[in-house]
Amino acid sequence: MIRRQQTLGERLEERGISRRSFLKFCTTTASLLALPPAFAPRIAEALESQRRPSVIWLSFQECTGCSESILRAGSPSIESLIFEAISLDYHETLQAAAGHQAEAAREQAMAENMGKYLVVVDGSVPLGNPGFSTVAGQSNVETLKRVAKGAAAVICMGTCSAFGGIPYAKPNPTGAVPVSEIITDKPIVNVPGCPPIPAVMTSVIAHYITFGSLPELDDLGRPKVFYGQNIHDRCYRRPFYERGQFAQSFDDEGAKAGWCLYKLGCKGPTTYNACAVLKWNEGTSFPIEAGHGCLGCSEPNFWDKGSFYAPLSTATELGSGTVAAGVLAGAVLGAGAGYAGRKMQEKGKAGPFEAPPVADAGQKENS
Amino acid sequence: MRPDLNEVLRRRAAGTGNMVLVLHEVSHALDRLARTGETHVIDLSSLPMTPVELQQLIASLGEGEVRAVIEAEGRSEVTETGFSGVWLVTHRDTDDMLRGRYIEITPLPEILRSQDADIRAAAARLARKLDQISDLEEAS
Amino acid sequence: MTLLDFARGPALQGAAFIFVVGMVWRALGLLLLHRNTPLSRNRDNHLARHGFRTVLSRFIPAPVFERRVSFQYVAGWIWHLGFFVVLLFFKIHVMFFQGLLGFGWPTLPNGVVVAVAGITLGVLLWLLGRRIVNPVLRYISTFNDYSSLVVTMLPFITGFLAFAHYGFAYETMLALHILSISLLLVWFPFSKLIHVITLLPSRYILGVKFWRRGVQA
Repeated sequence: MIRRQQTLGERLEERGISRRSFLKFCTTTASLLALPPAFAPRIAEALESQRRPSVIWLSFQECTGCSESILRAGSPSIESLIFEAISLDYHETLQAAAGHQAEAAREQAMAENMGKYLVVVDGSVPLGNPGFSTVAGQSNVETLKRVAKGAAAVICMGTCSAFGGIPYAKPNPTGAVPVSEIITDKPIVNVPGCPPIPAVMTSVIAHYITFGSLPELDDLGRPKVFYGQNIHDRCYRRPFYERGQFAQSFDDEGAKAGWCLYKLGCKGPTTYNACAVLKWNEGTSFPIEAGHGCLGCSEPNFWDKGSFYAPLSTATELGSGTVAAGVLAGAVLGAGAGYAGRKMQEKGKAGPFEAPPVADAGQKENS
Repeated sequence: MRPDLNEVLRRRAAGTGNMVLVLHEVSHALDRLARTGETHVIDLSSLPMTPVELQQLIASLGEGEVRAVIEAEGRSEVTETGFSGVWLVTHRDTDDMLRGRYIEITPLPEILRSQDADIRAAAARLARKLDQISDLEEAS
Repeated sequence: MTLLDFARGPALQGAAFIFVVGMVWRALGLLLLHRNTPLSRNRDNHLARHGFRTVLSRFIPAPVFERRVSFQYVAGWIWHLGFFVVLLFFKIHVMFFQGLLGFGWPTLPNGVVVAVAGITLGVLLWLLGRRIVNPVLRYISTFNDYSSLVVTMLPFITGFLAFAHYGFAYETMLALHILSISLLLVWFPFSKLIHVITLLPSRYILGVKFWRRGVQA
């Protein structure tokens, strides 16, 4: 607990990380946040002078993929520096403490930083049976309400906590809901993605530390800097779309030539994320570059939007069943209408100007 | 209303025209540096330019007398351009991925200077080292 | 549920259901009616063949009226063909049908389809303008005429905007495009657009009636 009193500058010094590395981090973070380079010293100053904000990380119905993404185990990079800037006081997967000690650490962090700590949530919250997901005998919804009460803000890491994600997918057996349906009186930043891009989270935290506020958000609560443009608009395959050159299957000539994957179900045109720009795996590539269409994992309900391999322009619920039902209903209605029509015709014919009998007319025709 | 993306793509293919604008900005900033000593940084990643334009920009700035490599959480390159006071700074991370490219208009880019905190730490380190050496000498 | 989810799912499903119900209902209703018993003597020995001849001959203007109606005919032909070309030979549309039917067919290059769609929309707009400006046409036009024209044009307009990524965001434009098609589907059986199923049979019946009386129509 003594360490939390240290500033980031002191911590870096202790760790043998040079001031130059730190400057570099601040400069590139400013670029990432689309801030003018003049802000880099301000970020440096803020990160350095402030006491590290306490962060409590809550894991609910999740797969730990989001934590994996952020830690990017194996290759520590400049992003990992952000972990020097925060005090991660509770993270079930990462913390050394276990059992009652772990819960005690959380309670202490909450008490010491009441109203100032950040809560990061990954995973959705089950409202069905509270027993579906519990930690230390407390249901997720209780924990969330309790921890969020004293929080300055809540950051929802990943699609599950932001929009419900996979647990929320039909038929939603656990009655899962996103954090925003439970916590309504705290600022919430959604950082969706399955998993989200690591730099996005570090930037959100850097922004919070520097300016004491959250970055500008879109109507789904996502930072506009990263979720302002869709994948399609920034995709390097976009010119093929314009020319109508589509891969028809994953192994045809078009696929080999790197043509547009719209026809193979790419959700790039409706997915707002920075994958095409920031890329994945240390900037190696992003899914479309690897030859697979975008799944739209950072959009709400991406799991329930029809097949991943059906083009966006296809119907999701229309099928032969609908047509058959239509034919049947139409036939019943049509028969009724026909019958009513005949009755009306017959009634009309029974008037004063009666037509000759049918047999008579038939005779004339034959003659 | 969003911009017509087809138009954007067409224009992008034809070049953005931003190269000349950047050169103008550099020119004005250099003028200010000469008169008032005020420094300026231009973030090249925030300005859309075609790879060809970027090459042209770097080529038109030319190469100057200084070329430095910094190894700090990845490699950074700092080169003075053909115009004194105009520096090109490139940051890469430990995986050699490009993290940012800047034009700095300054007598000396900040990252090149030894940092105060590092100097303080170094002074302490060196003092400790000397202590150790003298301890060893005394012991021998 | 986003607008696009609604359009691709329930809207399209509901519209297609109403379309099928309406088409079967109206077709069957007409088919089941009593036919008039012909009272005149039959003066023709090849009624069926001549009936088909009438069906075909009405596809081009009658020589007597050629000067007066040619524009209507040509304009009608252009936009009807254009409609089918765009509907059936645009790559993304064929993908839609493939999703529905399980098989696809060759398509035309995007450039060609865009040109055809542009011409079609132009002709439709011209016809709408003519209907409004021409006093005689205006006099005989009803809500059914205007609405059917507009409902037919909407998919073209929204389709263009979605394709060009113009106006709203792509997902919104695509949703509006699908919704405009849903509107067309719903409107279809209950407006004059029903002519798709009544046109050829009624021509045949008219032809048979005329030929029977010795009128070589």
